[in-house]
Amino acid sequence: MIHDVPVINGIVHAWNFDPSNVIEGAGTWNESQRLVDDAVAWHRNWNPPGLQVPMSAYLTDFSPELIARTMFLESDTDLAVHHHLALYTWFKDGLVRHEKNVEMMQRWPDRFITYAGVDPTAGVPQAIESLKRQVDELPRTVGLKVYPAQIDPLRWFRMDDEEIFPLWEAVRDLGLKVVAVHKAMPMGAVPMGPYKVDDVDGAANAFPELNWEIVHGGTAFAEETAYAIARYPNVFTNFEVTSALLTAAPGWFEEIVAQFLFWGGAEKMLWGDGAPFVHPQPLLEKFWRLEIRDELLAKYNIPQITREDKAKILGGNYARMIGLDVDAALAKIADDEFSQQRRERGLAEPYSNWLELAGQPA
Amino acid sequence: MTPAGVDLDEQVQAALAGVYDPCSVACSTPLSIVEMGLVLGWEYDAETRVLQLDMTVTSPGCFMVRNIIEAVERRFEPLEAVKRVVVRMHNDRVWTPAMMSDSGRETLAVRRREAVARIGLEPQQWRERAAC
Repeated sequence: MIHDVPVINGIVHAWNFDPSNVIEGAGTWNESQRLVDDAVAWHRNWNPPGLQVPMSAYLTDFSPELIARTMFLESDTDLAVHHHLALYTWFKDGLVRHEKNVEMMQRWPDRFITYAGVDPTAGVPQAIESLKRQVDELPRTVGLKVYPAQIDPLRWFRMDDEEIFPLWEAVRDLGLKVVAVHKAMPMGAVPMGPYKVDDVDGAANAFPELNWEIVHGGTAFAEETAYAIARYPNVFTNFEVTSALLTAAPGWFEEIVAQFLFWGGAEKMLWGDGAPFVHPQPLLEKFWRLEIRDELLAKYNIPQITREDKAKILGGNYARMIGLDVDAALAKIADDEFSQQRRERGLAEPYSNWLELAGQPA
Repeated sequence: MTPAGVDLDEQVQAALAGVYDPCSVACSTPLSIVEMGLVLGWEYDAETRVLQLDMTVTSPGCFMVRNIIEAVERRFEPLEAVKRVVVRMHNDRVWTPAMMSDSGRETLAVRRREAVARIGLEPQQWRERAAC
């Protein structure tokens, strides 16, 4: 908790950046290696100056242990959401294997919330089968993560296409609560259309019993995401990547939050950062201190962001979205291994666990 | 001016005006890299006819950075005055909307107003639906 406010990080990633996982020559421009290179740039440029791990640690297969220790020993995060990523045309194991979800739920079921991952472009029946297998193995799965396009060959889908609806029906019928879709950041030299947010409304309208999470609030075109969260009660935006602007361009982040508050309200934002590519704690602390400057309050005709607004964004909204009893969830982790260690040793240094696991000097 | 006496500045501006920011295209408002404020500056060596272009992108981990560079290179291929263009990408330089050109900002604002009007979007419309 940060200042007694529960924190649910809406997205963390145990990426596999081991060079052996890269599909050589993927896409027209070796997209897999490019994605790794870009993630290196994020790590170096969007963390506070000097806060990074050596490439010998970064270009590896991130373990569930690394994620758990970074999130719960080095930050005020209480619970974290983890997705299996089905990017099978970029990475041999999809970038984040389902087995990592399994390990997280076996070892720390009260700390992690997991989403299944499927590739709808490989065929809706196959995607439904894969989803069922994952949920069979992890009945506590609460969501599904999808990417709107794949490469080799280029193929994509729209969220509001009726041909995809059987997948959303399966999500609903399996008792999942949310579909998260990667938007705003085109993944390489691919058609841009699938990354637009204009197809989420149609899905949200057709499936009001499901929640729809736009992953990446956006950067240059965040205002388009703000419009997308304005119309339907069951559409949310996840702050992954956008929250990194708290370090890189705090004034701009203020404006994006002002836009989201104006169009969607505090109830439509979900805290998330995609850690550990950026460290979660500096962003949390900066968000807690966030105040929107007067010029923006006047421009958007909104009141100052409040402690209550921040509490909603940091965890309250997510808990409501999936029907999580926060008090019960906090009670379950009050004496777990992470809480005990936090009480004994305080907050660990950023990335100290990653360095330790990688055998690097702190 | 180039060795041939052609106004190089105009040629460079025209070439760059034809390179579009991919994310703006994805948001249905194609804006050039100049309008987006991604071009930080350029230097021309008249002797070697090499043009060095300094650029940034809207996100340091932009997946499209190499495509943007390639598009720039292609745009300069027909220019006799430029034998080679070297793009120096400063992806550690954080882009903000303040870097957009006035015309780019206005184009985007107009398009956004039109989009909002077209679908009759109101702030926090979802509250009405939730109340139903």
